[in-house]
Amino acid sequence: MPLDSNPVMDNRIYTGQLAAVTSLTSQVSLWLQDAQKELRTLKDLPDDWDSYGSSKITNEASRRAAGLLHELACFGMPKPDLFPVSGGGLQLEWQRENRELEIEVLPDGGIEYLKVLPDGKMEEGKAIAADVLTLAQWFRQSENSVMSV
Amino acid sequence: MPQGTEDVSILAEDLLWRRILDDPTRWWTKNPDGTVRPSSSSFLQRKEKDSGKLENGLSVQLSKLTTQKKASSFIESAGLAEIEVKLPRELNLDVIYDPIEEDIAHTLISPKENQKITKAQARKLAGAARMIVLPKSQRQ
Repeated sequence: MPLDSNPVMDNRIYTGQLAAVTSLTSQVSLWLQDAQKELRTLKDLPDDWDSYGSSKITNEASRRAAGLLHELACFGMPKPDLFPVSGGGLQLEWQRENRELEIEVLPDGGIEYLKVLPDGKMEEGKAIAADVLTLAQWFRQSENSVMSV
Repeated sequence: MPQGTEDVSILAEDLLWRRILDDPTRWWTKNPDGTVRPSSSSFLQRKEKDSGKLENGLSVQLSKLTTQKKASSFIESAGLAEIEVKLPRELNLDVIYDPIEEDIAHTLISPKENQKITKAQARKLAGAARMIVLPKSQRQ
């Protein structure tokens, strides 16, 4: 019987793959839950939460951030640090040894980003939701390069 | 003093302090080596959606006109980050003395007219800032 049709072996491979997928899904699900909880806390902050007179985090910003978090979790990004921004927006940040990514959700739901490149140079701009996975992919390239060392 | 005019009485080597909030409104992060630094979010100031109001600048305190104790008294759990005046000036931002009733040391880091503090400017300010008081959760 050819190896690739061995039902015992096939089952073993399938079980191993399934376990890996389940484990990844659980991890992602866990950080997403944590991030959503943090987001709810930030959304409930009162006016002047920053002691500098900022208004509350806007509904537009928190809704957009929630959508981005879900999308980025499904894409396999690590958990971001989530920060409030004076004026009613939010910021998601990731950093590794050789690069950083910031995605800012403005009070009106618009998106801006900043990339800190391995040589320390910075690139910033406006983005639409569809660009966010491209930015995430750029950040994850560092993951691949670290893994391949 | 007209708004947007650089205050010449503030010297390049003067120090500015910005409060760095602690949980749940955390404005700090950790470098890969584990040291605490401000997040760039602590140096951003955005247009408010409903009022359309764009703040004149980012509020800081001129250290020579206050004390760490007074600066920390606004929020006891907050840390304090310190930068030299010359840094925002090098980033093409103005530093304007702007005393207010509750804080004689109040000063603004302001972008040029009709501009805002960019993300790169905020990241550079955060990256150069020195934590002189750690946020409460990070104190020993």
